[in-house]
Amino acid sequence: MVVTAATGALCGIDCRLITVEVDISNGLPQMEMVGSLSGEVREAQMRVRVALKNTGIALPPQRITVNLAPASLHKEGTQYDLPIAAAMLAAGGFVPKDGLRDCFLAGELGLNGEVKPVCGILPMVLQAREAGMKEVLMAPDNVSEGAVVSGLHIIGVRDLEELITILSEDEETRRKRCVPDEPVSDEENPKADFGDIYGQEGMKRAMEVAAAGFHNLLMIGPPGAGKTMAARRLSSILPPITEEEALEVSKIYSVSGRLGGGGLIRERPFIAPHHSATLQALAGGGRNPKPGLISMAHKGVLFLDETVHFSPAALEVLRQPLEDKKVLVARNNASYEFPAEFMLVAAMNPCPCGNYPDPQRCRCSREQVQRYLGRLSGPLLDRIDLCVELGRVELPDYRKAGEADPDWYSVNMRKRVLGARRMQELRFAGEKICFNAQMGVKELKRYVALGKKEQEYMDTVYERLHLSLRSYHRILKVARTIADLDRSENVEVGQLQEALCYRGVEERYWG
Amino acid sequence: MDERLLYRLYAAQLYEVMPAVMRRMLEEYGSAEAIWNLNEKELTDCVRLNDVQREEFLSAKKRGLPVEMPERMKKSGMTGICYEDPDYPARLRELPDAPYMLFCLGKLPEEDRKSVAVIGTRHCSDYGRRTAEYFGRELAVAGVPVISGMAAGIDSIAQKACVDHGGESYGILGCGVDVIYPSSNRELYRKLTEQGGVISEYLPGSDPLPYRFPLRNRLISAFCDLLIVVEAREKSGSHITVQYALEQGKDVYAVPGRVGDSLSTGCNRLLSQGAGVAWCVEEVLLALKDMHQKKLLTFPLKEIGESIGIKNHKKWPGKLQGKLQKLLNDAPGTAQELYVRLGDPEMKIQELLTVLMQLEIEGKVLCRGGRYEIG
Repeated sequence: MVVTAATGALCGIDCRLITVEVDISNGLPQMEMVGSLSGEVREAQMRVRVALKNTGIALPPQRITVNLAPASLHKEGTQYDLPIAAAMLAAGGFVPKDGLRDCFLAGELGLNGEVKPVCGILPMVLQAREAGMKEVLMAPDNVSEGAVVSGLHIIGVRDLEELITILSEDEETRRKRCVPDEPVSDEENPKADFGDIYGQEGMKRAMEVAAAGFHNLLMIGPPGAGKTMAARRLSSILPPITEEEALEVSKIYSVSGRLGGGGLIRERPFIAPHHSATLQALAGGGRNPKPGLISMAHKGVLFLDETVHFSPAALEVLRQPLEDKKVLVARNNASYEFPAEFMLVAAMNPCPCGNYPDPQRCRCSREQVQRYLGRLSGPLLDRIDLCVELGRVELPDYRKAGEADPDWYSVNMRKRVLGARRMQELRFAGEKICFNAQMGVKELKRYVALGKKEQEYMDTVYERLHLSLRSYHRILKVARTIADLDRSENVEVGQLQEALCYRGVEERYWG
Repeated sequence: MDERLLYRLYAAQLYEVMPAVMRRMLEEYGSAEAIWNLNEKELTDCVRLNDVQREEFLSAKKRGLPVEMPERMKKSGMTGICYEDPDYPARLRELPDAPYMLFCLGKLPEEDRKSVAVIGTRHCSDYGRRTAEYFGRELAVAGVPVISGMAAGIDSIAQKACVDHGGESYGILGCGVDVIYPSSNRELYRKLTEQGGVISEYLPGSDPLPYRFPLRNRLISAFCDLLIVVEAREKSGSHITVQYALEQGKDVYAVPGRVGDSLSTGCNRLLSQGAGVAWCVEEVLLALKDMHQKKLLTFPLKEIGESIGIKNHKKWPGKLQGKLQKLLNDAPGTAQELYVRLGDPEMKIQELLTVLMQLEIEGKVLCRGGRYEIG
């Protein structure tokens, strides 16, 4: 007689429904598990058997067969312990079989019967809801993560003893055990403020433009100019994360086990990998691939400090996600897709000593400077819309800091950013894109219509500055964002001029 | 095949390693061929040689004559002039350590025509760049050949300005004349072979080894009649050239710089030690006048700042533009620096960026690596 229980297998950041089938029939007393299992899943039989024994359950001396269907899918992880135990309990007649109907289980077992948390609860619960399940049983430590999904009952199970009680209860008693849905908290963590940075209005403005249009940004400046400080303050002016985005980001964090017990991620991520990060750490890897750092930055900011010190291979790996907004990691059994739509903020020194183009301080030769900057490959630079140079902080700036311009407090910058966001929301209402930075050539033609005067201006500029067509498009995109910040319907010459000031580094350093 | 050339190339190889010994050997035996023909015993018996030098001779002999070299020279149109030839430059002949052979692409400087060397740091400031350009251009107009080392920075800037204005320029290299170093000089190199020459004492194909550059400096000073140092730090390779120039009895001029400007410290020190003040090209041309063309003195005296565009008397229209012109005349700066220097709390940074961009399009300012300067 076969008893089934439902659970899930992780594939990338998504989950597939798995049915645990248990059969107890006459034969030699032994337990067998099948269904394309990896090591840790195979070990489940030991954990389950001992945990049941320690809970005081004596399994019948019969042949127990466990199958995880679909059998063709390779299974990894430890979330199968709990459903296997539950199905065995039902098959052995220790709990009523009805108790497992519309019930999804995921959890690891300890030898003493304790239920332990697993990674990837969020995608599993989402899958359970999609499959029409009514209840999800999981470790108490996973409950807060599971509770963010509404529409089904999340029940925390301490140990096997409690599991037996729960499965034996009728529906109503069980409902009382459900944890309420996680309430959405509106309060925000206090963040560092742009007002703390002395001077550097040019950089702050570039940050504002980048945040408003979700443009990739490159900062070049001497050490101590405030590049890192500014990048860390970027999240204080980014538009808030939407519910939908939060769920997507949380899924990624859940799969990599980095949700940290809390509910949804309610802030745009800010990921700053060290420059020694390997290609795998960035893109995601492992035999059963886990999302890498660039996926962790999904919908948020990926900040590369000392960009040129990253290995060239690690930098090149950014090219695909910058283009396709996802990372494709292929392994021998399958390829996994991790979303990676982030805003790249890169910081670097202009030369090995960091003081170029100040001849008083910089002693690097022209070749050294070129070689240093040349470590950023052209295709990568092509994806960076804004480039801003920072000077050394001048003493007058520093003295003025006490009476900082309220214009450059995060709260006011954010107000302007949100205004520009709203303009973009309206503009791209029926489109797949939502930020100016995502505009392709087709969208540029439709949404950045230049007037006659502006067109003529760009024609002269194109010739004079020897722009490439690609940088021409970049300038239009940035100009559109600046116009949005000015709440202006049309792009005007002034906005084009400002956008030109942020044009790519290749035209200004190597041109 | 020209046998004599082969023997000479062989001697030139040895000459680079031990010039003093070779000079004496050449005097003693009369020709390169005679040295080649010395057998092992004769070399062993030669009292002039110590063990190391003898070893050098023997191994050179083992390597044999550089038979592929003449072909290589012919291919690139290179000429090789030997100390023994009558057309060997007279200015070099006087040197105590005159090179045995000279290799040349293009031509050699004319003997009776006065020339000026313009040298300086490889990593120059904007001021140095403009001044080097100015001297290169003005000397070209005055018909004075410019000699320099084709190094990055001042050297190549001055030479480029010279050939671009139709002047004659000669590059003295620290590597073989068919080796382009630094490689960014490819274009200049090509122009020099047409409007002047590229000269070296090193055999074709020689690498730009560090020890060769200070040595070639003696040829730069030897070929010129007057040396201008445009920008040099306190410690700079330019001082080696100056030292040679003084030993060879050439006039040394230096471009004055701002006090406290590390790139001009070397020049200012030269000035305090009595170097001529190269504050305009006429100053230099006057110094050459005894020896040079009469038309020199017909040039009207023009202030250097005016010629190199640092002082632009024409006012830029617009209030902010006017202020910017004043600021940029004092010193270049990034947009952020200019914003601070303007010190106008009413103005937004984006307004400044807009104006700077406009000025850049109009060609009034230049933006290099984020620094704006007068264009």
